[in-house]
Amino acid sequence: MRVHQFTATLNPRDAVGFHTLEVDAILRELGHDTELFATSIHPELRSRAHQLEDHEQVAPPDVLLYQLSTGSPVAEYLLARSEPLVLNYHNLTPAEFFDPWEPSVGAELHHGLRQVSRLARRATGAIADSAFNGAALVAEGLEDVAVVPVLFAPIASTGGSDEEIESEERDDPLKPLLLFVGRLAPNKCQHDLISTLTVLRRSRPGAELVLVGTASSAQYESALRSLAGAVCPDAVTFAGSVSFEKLAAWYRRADVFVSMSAHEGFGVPLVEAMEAGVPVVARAAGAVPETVGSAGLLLDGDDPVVAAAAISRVLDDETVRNQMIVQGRQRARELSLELSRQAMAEALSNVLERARSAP
Amino acid sequence: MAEQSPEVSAPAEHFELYIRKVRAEIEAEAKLRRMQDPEIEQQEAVIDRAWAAVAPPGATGPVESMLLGRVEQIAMVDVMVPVGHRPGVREVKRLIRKISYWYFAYIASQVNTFHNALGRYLRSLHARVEALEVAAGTASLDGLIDAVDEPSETVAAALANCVTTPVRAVVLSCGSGRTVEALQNVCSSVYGIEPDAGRLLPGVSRGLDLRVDDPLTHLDVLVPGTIDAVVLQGFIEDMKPDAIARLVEMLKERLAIGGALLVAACDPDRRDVVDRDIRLGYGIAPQTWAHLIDRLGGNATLLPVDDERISAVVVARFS
Repeated sequence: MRVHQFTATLNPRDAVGFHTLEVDAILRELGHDTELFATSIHPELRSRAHQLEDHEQVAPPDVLLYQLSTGSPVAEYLLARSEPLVLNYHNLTPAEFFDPWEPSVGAELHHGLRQVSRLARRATGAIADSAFNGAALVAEGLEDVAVVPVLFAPIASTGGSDEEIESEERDDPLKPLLLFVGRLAPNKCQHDLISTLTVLRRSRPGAELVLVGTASSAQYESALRSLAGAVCPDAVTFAGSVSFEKLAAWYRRADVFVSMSAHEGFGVPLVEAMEAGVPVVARAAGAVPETVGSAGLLLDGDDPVVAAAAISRVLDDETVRNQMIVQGRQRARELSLELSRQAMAEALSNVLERARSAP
Repeated sequence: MAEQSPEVSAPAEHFELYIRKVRAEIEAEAKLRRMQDPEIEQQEAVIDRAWAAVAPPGATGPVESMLLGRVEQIAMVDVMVPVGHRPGVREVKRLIRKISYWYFAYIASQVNTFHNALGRYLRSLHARVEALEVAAGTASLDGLIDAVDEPSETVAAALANCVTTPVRAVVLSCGSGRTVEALQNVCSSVYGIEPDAGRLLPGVSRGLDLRVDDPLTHLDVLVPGTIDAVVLQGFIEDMKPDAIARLVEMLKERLAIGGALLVAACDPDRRDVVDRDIRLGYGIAPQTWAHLIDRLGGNATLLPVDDERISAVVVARFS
């Protein structure tokens, strides 16, 4: 079968980029004749993908496959074509989170969500990262939705060490290191992490928080830095974007991975933390409960006192901590690249076959 | 600490139950910390103020007074352009400022006057809404009022007797889970919802499926048709009749076809003096529940119970 895969941007170091390349490889392994198209392609990947505007020059495919993770002109292009369309849906952040901070980003997200609605009505089938993402498509009337975890590179096996990160003295429960990995964005609620850290420091004055990730909103980042400076100066590290080696080092150094994110379509860092043997304390929002399963401590809301109590419990109660580590590693194995690739191959075979035979 | 690699075998089959118990204990611990350490509340207020000072309006939650303060703070348009420190840039900016000052000051004055009027209007609106809330008696009595007693074992058994076929049930405001426990033998699945983590802890320790949540919030997100029986108790005694009518309407949509609504409500006449005075106007007698349900399209029956507080349980179905 001739399958053309589309994505807005193709970058080897972002989650959707890695996933798209894996899907491309799986399609080839399944024997499909496949090509990859994007509006923006990282220089390293120019030999593996074509610009979207070149698509008109190649022979038409049997099925279109769209990696849907943002509002994009790709969606308008695909909506105008007649071939069967299959979506691989990675979720869009609700615009309300960005409206007060970055109105222009909010407007783009509103537009993107309208595209999701139109694409779901046009598509013959879809694969979603999580049941939470799948439900959004079902709500738009798309019935054929399979759930397969996002494909991502294992982080725990990343070798090397980082002396700067790992040299500090450890094993002191009064000086725990809390870690969160994710874009600095209003929906990730890093401000609630700073509130939690501030409450936690009442009983553990040495507690520190490391935020790994680039800013999606400069205004939100600036507000976070101001808040941290006002309520817990020198206790929050804004690590920014880091290499895989440094990221692996932060996971090794962390005592607890804490997420107060109010909206997650899957949550790759949650799995990375579990894989690295770091207990997870997280707000039960979006797809977080299904990603973490019963391996993490899930919190019902954003109460910093409850979150601080949960972190303390994980630090102080060896039984809880050890069992969370064991269960976390087991859960990470269930979501491993190898198993997810198998599930993706099966789901792709089914959804593409149904798409081709759709009237 | 993350390097520990405990290869002990976790009791996987029980782990979910175990972690649920840990969650309930954490909620109770947090509640206890709040009660024992009043400085926590002050600290939270400091954090909220610090955040409100740097976050844009609309991103700081429903703290009206802070939001209004922030609106006033950013509503003023300052026409004095910062001139910077580098000599060349400073001179250019100074020149631009001199040339444009009169015009921008004229515009800014009008915008500021408008914002000022808007701010004052919002303040007066806020004050009027507050006065209205006080007049309507919706001001919270939290801290002055005791929680409603959990239904006795007799009432819990009477509720369980109303269930004749295995159903999926939820008990709203379940307390320590007495009713959930009674229903366990007759339901295919049953869980309880309780906003007070401290109250449900004993039940969680007994292995019951009890979850911390607000009953109305839980109902709001419940997928219609997934529950066959809903038991109402406790929190309904803090609701006014009009809110109770709205609750019944909501339950009609949430219950599965042929589902049952079971109500264990205290007869207001049976309350003690303090309870009667403070809860005046809140909660309705079982007979009134039956009347309301009938008028809203249901079919309610009263089953008398030998109990000090609750004279009868109400069993209702909607066609």
